[in-house]
Amino acid sequence: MTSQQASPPLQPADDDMAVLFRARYLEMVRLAGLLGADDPEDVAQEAFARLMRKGSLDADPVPYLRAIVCNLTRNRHRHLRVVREKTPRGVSEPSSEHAAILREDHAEVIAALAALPARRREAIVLRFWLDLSEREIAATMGVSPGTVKSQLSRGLAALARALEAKA
Amino acid sequence: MNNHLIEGRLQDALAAHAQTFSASPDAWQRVQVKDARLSTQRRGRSAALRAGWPARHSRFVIPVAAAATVVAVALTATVLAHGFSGTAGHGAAAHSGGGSAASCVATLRFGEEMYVGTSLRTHPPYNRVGRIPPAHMHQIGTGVFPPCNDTNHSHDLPQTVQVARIDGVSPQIAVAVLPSGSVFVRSGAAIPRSLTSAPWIRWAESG
Repeated sequence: MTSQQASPPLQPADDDMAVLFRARYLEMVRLAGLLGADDPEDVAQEAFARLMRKGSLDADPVPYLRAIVCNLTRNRHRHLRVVREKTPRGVSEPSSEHAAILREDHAEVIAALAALPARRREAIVLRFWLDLSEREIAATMGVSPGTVKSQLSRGLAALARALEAKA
Repeated sequence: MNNHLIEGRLQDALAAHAQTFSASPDAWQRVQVKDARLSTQRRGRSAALRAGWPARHSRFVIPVAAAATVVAVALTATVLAHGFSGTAGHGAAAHSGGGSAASCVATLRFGEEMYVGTSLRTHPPYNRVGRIPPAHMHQIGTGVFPPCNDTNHSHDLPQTVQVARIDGVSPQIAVAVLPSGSVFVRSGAAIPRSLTSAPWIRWAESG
């Protein structure tokens, strides 16, 4: 998808982790950002640090990385809910800088997406941005494929309602 | 609204929104700092979990303790011989290579960050110490050794020192102090492998 573009320069040894970082870091930042993380880079870095702590890399560590990003972002939402109650502006709303960059119709979709419950948002981002199958999404989210199906269906219905209301 | 229409709009919007997130150039260094922090936390936890360890492995206790003592003696000799200030002495005293060793931890304040002195060691038995050639250090500013008032009536003063970037190492992770080349690692970070494995490090027996 759009994820394998210009990654940051890499200094240390070209071991497996460094290669993985080079290939996937930006994807993880963007995944965290699309899931509404307040600091997507921090989430992605934490995910790589946890993978490094795990010791050895699986045959395909990317699903594990994605799962960590989803979990960390979800935990952060929970933590920030308290903060959000005390501040007038929602912390996971797209920033004005982002809003200015996005076209108006895109901004509407993103705003509607941000209003969805975390799990539905995850399912939708994994499906429509990363193009994962229901089975892959289920593995990433740690739920059954049936749950993914229902989250996707309800999420899309909610999005349709929200966008129709704005039209 | 038609499902296909929604899906199409979603894909476009997600792809466009994703482009607004980018990666910072020091991301890898930050990952390493986080990794070092996680490592420290894990070590603390596993130490607590090993509370029942001696009972199950009592036959190893004496040999392991003896080995640890030997390593500790070797490390102390290394640090004293080279004045390379591990965590045993304060910067000013330890880095001058002379005088009596103070009991403060060797620290360096550079910018807003605190760095801790360390020596570059090889793997066990830690009998070699690395030095950084001057050509691989590039001055980037000045730092301060905080005062070490470790005894009654002592009035140590902060000492300003020249701080250098080390080739291949982000100053966010570690810096060197000029002219001695003593290495200071940012608090919470580990000595980067890119440094200990650099071909230009000069290794010498610690004697």
